[in-house]
Amino acid sequence: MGDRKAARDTEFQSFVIGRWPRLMRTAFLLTGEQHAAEDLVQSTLEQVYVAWRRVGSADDPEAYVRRVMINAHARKHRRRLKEFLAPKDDSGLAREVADTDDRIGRAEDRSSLLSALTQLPPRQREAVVLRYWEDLTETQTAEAMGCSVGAVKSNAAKGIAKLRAIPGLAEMVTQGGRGR
Amino acid sequence: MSADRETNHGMSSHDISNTDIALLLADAADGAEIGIAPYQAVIRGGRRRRARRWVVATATALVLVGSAGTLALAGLPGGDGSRGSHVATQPPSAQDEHVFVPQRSTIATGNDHGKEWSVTIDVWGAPRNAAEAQVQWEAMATYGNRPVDKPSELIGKKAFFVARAYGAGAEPQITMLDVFTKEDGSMTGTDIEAAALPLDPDAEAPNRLVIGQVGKTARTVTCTWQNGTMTDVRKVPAGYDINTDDEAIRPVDGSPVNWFVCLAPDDTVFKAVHVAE
Repeated sequence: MGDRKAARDTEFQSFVIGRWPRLMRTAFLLTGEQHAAEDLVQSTLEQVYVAWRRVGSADDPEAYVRRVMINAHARKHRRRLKEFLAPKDDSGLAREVADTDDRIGRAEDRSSLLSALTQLPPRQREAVVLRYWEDLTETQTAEAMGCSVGAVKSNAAKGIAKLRAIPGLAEMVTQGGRGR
Repeated sequence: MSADRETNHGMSSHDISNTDIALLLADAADGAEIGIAPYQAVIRGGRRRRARRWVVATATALVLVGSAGTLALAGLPGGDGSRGSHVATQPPSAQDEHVFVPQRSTIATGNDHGKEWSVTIDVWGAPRNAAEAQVQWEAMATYGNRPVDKPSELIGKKAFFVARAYGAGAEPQITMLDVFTKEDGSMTGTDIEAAALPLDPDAEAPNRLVIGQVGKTARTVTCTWQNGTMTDVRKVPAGYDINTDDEAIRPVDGSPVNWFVCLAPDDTVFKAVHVAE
């Protein structure tokens, strides 16, 4: 029994160390802020730790972790959702990022995109990040978000439309982006 | 990329493609400072989360032990091994399943310097629908606390409340409450989850009372005290007599795990506990 426990601990440690970078990046896109991202990932992994015996032996621990992270993110923002949505609409979003300079550096590009992401309602942000950063299918995204595929399509489409409305995004595409 | 399989609805040729968005997101994600995974902090946080299962009304000094990477409780409706022998031609009713009235069992009783004490547990059956959950939720109001945030979270889960009383006629105080969930898995072998706390619910020390859960197969639990002495408690069959100051590992009606209590001698306090066999 002790060996099994030790093996589980080792397995969990490997999981944490191996997944930390990817989870941090996803959380960074979800929260738009370094410390909030660290908090989100740590809190997610704490929950995973509690259920590790079941999760670790599951076929797809990644799916469980995503679900926990999205739930944690959604819970955190549920209370703030109204104030998040109230003052903003598509045009509001565009105005907030309208001061993007034509000659921005990559850091500013990132900042603009992150800023635009954080202006999205949480469900749209989650759908965009899971679909376009995590590269999940609509079905996988729906599982992670605990909603229907239709809701994923709708949230992702709205979110993407708002991101496309960022002035200067085309320049970011030419100047920034991975490998460009 | 899976996202590319999706049609870029309404885009004209000069629009930014979904692939472009994906690349920008990747670039933005690179802005995160990755650092070193805080493994130890995660473990500490995970243990704290587990400790929350022991919600002590007086929030006294609680010492929690448990098998790392496991959570102790086994599953849920049907998780109780005794159900395997249940033969019925129709599904049991909510009353049969103790959805509206819990099964109460005494885990241990004793007499400490002339003061009677006891540890009891109430196990509630798993509501099968929202209506049953609502009734159960309302019935649980008498405890002054509930193991979940809303009635719907009770559906499909057994709940339990452990209480301890100290002194003649004293009102039992809730010491632990939670639901048994599938996620908790099943306890086996040397898995253990226990807390050490004062016998008197109104005191903050000393931690002499140990209450815990073990798997159905555990036969002996050893509590080790600070002064180096030890107390062994052994498994007894269901329905076995409960004698004053005679602690044991007991099956509890409705519970998928067995429960035990140890009490330290007066002059010492809790140090450790483990399943010996």
